[in-house]
Amino acid sequence: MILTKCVPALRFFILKTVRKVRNQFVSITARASSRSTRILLEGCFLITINGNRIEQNKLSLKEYLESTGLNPKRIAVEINGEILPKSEYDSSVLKDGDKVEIVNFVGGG
Amino acid sequence: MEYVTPTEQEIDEELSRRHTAEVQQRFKNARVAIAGLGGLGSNIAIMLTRAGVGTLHLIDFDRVELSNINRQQYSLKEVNMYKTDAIALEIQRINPYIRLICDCVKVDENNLAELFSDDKIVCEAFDNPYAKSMLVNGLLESRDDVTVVSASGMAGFDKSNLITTKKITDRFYLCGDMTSEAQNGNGLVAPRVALCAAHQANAILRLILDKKDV
Repeated sequence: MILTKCVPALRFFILKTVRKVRNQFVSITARASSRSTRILLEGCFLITINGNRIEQNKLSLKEYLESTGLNPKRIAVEINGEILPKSEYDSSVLKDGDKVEIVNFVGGG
Repeated sequence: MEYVTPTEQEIDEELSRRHTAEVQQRFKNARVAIAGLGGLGSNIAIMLTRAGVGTLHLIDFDRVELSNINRQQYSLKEVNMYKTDAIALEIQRINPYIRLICDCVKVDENNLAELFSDDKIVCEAFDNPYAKSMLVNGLLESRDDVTVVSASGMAGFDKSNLITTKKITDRFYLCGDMTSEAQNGNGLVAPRVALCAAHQANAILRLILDKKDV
């Protein structure tokens, strides 16, 4: 009886700890990469899109655009300082360390 | 008293006094393309004219409408004129020695390469977001010798200080607040449109002077 009561609390505690440790790893990776001495920790990857950090080692640009509702016909995508050709939107896979800026043009001029 | 148009030399000397002769010579030798002659483009064209930029390549397919007068550099007598003709008139009133290349055409994927083949600095001043994306991508994907100064977000009465110039890549600058879309109830109004146009015009003058930071 006590055990079943304890299980959810224990689970919560474990999850919280795991998340905390993971976040620390991520900030270590970010700091390390900014010093250009890179510590690779498995499971702690980082893609930056418009300043937002996404903890993933791979991310399909097409899927990201679909998930955010951005229309490929009214954007420009910059990856690590270069404009990505529109013909590569569907096949492009963002990877660890990529810095991405997506310009979503709005009407008016 | 009879009006006499100043000579080119008189205007150049006046500008050189302000900018220094070296800077003025750079402006005079420069060529800038402005794609779209609406609220942004007409303001940018006038500002670059006043600065003495020697050659302006002006592109728009549209005519001046009464609804444009609230923010664009046209006057009532120019309603129904092609914008390329109307802006040429306005420019000639300020500096008749600016060399103008006017193209009264709609820019699309097919004519883009040829239209801008002689331009190294292109100012994107369209109103349609799809056209903005088409021009910026079309030029930057196919050329490595062109810099594009684009704009996004300048409608309404939001804070002036939200309008900024961002350097997205070495050859792509973006001005505006990035979010204020023109729509019913939040239309385009002269001050913020002119603010954004001024950001673009200044980014262009800085590019001419090889000042590439923002």
